[in-house]
Amino acid sequence: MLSLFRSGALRGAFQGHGIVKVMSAVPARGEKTFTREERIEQWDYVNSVYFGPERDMKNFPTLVQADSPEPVRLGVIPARWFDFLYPKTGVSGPYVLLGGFTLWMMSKEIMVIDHYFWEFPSFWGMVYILNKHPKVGPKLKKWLADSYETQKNIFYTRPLKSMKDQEADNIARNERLIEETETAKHIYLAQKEGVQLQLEAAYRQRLQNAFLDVKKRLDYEVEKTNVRRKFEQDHMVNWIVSSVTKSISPQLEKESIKVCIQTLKGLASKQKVAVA
Amino acid sequence: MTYQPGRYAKEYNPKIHGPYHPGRFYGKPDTPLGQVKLGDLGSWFARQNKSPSALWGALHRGYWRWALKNMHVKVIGFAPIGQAIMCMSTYYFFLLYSERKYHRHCKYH
Repeated sequence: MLSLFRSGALRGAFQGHGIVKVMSAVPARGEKTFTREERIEQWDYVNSVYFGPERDMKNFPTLVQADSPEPVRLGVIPARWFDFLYPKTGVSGPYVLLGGFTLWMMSKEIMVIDHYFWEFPSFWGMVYILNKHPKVGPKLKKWLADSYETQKNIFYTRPLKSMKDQEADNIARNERLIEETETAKHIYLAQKEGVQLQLEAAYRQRLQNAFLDVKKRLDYEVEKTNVRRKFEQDHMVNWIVSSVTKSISPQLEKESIKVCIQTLKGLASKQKVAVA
Repeated sequence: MTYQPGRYAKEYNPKIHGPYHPGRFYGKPDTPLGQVKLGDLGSWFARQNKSPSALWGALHRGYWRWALKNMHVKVIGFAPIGQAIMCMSTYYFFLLYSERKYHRHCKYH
């Protein structure tokens, strides 16, 4: 018996058959550890088997864990037995049946009033008193409900919530990454624009350089031409002047002075007439 | 429906029936006992499979159906424990009946 407990063979009887969990889908004591992908794959496979198109949901719906045991009357007798007898015997029928059956058993001494008999009313009397006593029954029920909530929190709600939060964090982080990759596009455009501006600046600089160089050369040419022309002019003037100077003989000088004097005289006479 | 120890029922098909539950009957359904008319009760019994393995299977199904509705609920009350105690008292009543019969007060009833 102890070995049965230790091996967990009786665990199903005490903890339920895993009707709400899909334990049959996951090997409990396997040596192999599964990766997340393998688990997802296995889950999908089991889902496809159990909830495929052939599933008869009308006659075999998914079982749900009930909140509380089915309703009872007189503490232990299922209420549906009373409901079953109601159309045949009315409301009091089942109670009469029960009481009559007990009375019959006692009157025929099938149920003998011996020392064992008093165990029955004393036990059920104690159960009734403890159930109704404000310090026991309601407190026990509250404690049971609280412990159920605690267990559910520890084994179901909290791990699920933490996993969901983790995945939400993951999603947020990935979305941020996606946004960042989108900003990279803008950074690329800005950098491209900067490079284009630099290229434009370099192009304009070169244009300016070419312009300045051409202007320098043209200025040089102009200067050169001007200098040459000035030189030629000077030279020619000098040459003509020196040639003229050289060509003037004393004879010619005399004649010219004479002509000059005559001219002056003529001018003087004209002046006199004008004055008179 | 035959019961094989440690095996699923022969009629059980996971693609149609979904996850296995030992409290479910996977064979061809008959009229429930509660809805059978008194006159048809004989033919109803005649139709049932009364082999030992079938009876054993029916006992197991009954236990698991009861356990699903009463024991394996979120917050258990006293009712299922009381029912178990009542079953045990009935069992012991029959077990000790021959001994208790000895303590009868009257000879004729």
